[in-house]
Amino acid sequence: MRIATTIYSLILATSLFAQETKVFHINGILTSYTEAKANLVQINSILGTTYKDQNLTYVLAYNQTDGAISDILDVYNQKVAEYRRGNPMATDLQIVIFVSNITAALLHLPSTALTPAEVQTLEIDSIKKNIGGSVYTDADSEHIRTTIETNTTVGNNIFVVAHSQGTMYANIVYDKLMEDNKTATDKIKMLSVADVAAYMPNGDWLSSFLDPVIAGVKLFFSVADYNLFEANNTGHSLIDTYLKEGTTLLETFIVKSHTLLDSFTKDTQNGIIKFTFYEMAGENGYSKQDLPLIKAANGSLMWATNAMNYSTKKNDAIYTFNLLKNSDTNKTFTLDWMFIDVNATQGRIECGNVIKEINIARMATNHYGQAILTKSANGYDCTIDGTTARTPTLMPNASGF
Amino acid sequence: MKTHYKIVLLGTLLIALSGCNTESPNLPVGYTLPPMPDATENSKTIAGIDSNTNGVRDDVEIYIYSNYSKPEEQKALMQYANAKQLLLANVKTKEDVVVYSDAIDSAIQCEMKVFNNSIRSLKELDSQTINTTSRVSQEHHIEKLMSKVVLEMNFKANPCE
Repeated sequence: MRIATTIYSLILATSLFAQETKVFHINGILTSYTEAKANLVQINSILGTTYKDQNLTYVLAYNQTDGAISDILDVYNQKVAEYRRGNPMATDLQIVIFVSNITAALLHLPSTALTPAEVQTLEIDSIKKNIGGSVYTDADSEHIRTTIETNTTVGNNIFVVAHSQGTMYANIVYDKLMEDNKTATDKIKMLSVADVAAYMPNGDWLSSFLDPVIAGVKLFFSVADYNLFEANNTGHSLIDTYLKEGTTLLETFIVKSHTLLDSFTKDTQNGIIKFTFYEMAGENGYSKQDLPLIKAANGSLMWATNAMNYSTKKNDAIYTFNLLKNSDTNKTFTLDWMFIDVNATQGRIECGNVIKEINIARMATNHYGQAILTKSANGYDCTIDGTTARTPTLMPNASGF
Repeated sequence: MKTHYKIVLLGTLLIALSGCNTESPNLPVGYTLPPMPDATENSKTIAGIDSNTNGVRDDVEIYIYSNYSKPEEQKALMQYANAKQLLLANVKTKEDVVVYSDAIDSAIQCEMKVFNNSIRSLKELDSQTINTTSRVSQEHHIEKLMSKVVLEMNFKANPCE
């Protein structure tokens, strides 16, 4: 009976504290659904069904193949979209030149399975589609975005493992999620494998020096730099190259995946000090001075203007400090903050298990505060002092800033 | 020299006994392959001809048993061929994709378990299976539908049937 009770308690504890993390896979071009599903099976066999306090479930966001011509037209248009993102004032002529560069790249890539005439046709199609100020958006990614939003809304974490062209899809999805302003960046992480995209918005990437496809693309475009060289392991395939048993590429994939998954763990989340502000003054949202001035660990001062959701819209602003890592023990972190000439602010500060409400009246005097977070072998401990006037000497004179 | 002949004879006998079938040395005990269907008739429909109604097209079944000798490999590929046949013959909508995904997911998991994470045999089997214009077209249709749904994969401890 006692054993049964203990087991029940353990199950209850597990179910109470476990987090749900959805591992999404987005495949590259010219990949059948059987291959894409096999990729997911392999990722599962590597990462398993649990990681620390997370239950991992696996989801396929299949990037269909329409055959070489159509798939490569997608690449054309995604690269143009990426170019526009980095060059918002690009003229039509610059777009045409950029597209012709893609053509040159394709003609030099090994085994594109296209004839030069087919590549020229693609070039013309892409130019027709992309000049005149239009911006390519891929409707194929819309259901992926909505599925991710649905998951993050109920508190699930999202870990996207994208491969090859899938990395550009992943970026499109991520950018749209951020435009929608509904998904917190700390709820989604991405690992781009054989990364052909030019940027990594939130996560990490793994690209082999001996990947011939990346080498070809890199001749003509900006792509993520190689970050691993492993002799005798050439190729572009997810399973046969990057996740191949006994390779450094696989070991690195595991380390990078675990690092990104670590960012979801509650252990890490307990080691943060989090500011959340709401009901800000003014109907048009925040001004910079509605947010606190924060003294960081290195003594520098900064406005919390890169807070999550901070925008001109009226919304919650969340600013999070990841102060202590899982590996830290017996460490103390002190954070000082001040509000200067705030019109009116309500919000809260969370630190460890302590929550402190903040309510600064309109036209109040400056407001100071301090949180001390300690991690010991027994866990986190936090004290917050910041009702009204802490000694201002902790912070420099606002006028000198 | 006589000893050499004896060894060859014994070897032949052992192979015959282990095969247990006069049609193919790869067949398990009591198993009879269907006859090879008429190519024209077999190509008339997406489903093709499955004379023994085991859920696998006859020509695909013959291909599997003729090219793979290990029973666990044969079973894994028959499971995949069956799941593929279900998809090809039945999927018309996104909802159908969801209904039939579990079978193909298990079959892929089983194949990877049996073939040590290689899917080369599945690629070869696909090229045997998707072998007419209408089948290619249906496969393309399934891919399109599959790209419009986000599917969670169930992992089973024993994916092989």
